[in-house]
Amino acid sequence: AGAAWARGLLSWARPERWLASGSFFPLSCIHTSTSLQKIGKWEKKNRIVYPPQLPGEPRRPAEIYHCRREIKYSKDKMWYLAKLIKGMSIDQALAQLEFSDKKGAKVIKEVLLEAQEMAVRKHNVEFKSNLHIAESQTGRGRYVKRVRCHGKGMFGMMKISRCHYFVKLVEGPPPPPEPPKTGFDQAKEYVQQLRNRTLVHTL
Amino acid sequence: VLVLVCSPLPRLRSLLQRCWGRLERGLWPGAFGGKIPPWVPALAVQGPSLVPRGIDDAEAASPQEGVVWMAAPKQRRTVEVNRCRWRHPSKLIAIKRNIDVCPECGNLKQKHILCGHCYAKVKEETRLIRMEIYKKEGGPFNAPAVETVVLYEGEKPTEKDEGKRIIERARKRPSWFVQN
Repeated sequence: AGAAWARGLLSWARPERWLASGSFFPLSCIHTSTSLQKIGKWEKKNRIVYPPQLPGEPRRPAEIYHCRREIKYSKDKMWYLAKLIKGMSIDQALAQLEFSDKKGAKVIKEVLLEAQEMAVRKHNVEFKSNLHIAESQTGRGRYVKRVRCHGKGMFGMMKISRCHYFVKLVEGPPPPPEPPKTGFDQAKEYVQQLRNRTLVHTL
Repeated sequence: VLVLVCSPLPRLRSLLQRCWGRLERGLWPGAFGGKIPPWVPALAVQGPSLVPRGIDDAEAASPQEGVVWMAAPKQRRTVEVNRCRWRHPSKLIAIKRNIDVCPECGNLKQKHILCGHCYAKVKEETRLIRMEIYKKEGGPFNAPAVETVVLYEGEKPTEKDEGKRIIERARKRPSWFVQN
């Protein structure tokens, strides 16, 4: 219990979060502006290293974070694809994306295959099919405003939109879908809420 | 002569009444500089019934252009309302349940559509055969009026291929191209 407490105390000051690899000297890891301008938060999530697990603890499933930035697609249209594959196993997701007619489906398929390969090579995942998609999100990329010519010399301003796509793969079979809420559950919750009420401003 | 007294204050009202009385009796000769007063008392009328209506005038004035009030949104649609519409289940992409495994190559295929991988393979071989035909013919519009037979390495034309044009391909016969 004491070791766990000490681990928890120093968890905020983990230097592994900022180190690219397991190098000894922290000064050598300071990135200058010549390399990638800004490493996004999602890419940094792959760098966290947990301390070794105790013998009795259940095995922590591997988590792989991958993303692709500045995809030439709309973030709202990409969101539908991200919502489709959320919670599926990676094989099922790849199958659905292969036969989808959308432009973003091809991009997301490439991202998933890259992430799968990364998982097997670097993140110590044994079976490449034993992954499921825990999170899949889209983000807004940089927009550019351009002139769009209409007839009769009129013009309008259009915005060329780009998006980012983020995915988190977790080892293990996909979690079973939540059963839909029945009326009985809702009634039980309501009764519980009524029972939780207390008297205020009284003795 | 009735005077319209609009002031509610009794003192002002009595002052006005006294001034008007003096004007009428001629006890105030220098009121308008000796001339006729520009205004004369008139009958006070109560009620909006005789007030000219601007709406009727405007509509009566231009009967050709009848004003059409276009529909316009009254309030901005909030993002919560917009999200309910964008994320409605009918707008989400449906999961496809007609995906199978191709028994030939093992890739995925839809049940009612040919396997993409196998089709690409056949297409490539067809292209190479067509190149051989083009080399043999030498130009457009030279197609002979006989059938064509494709033979691969180590194959001889049989009795059935007597009068047919033979195209040679320099490779082993692919497993999926069955010889008659």
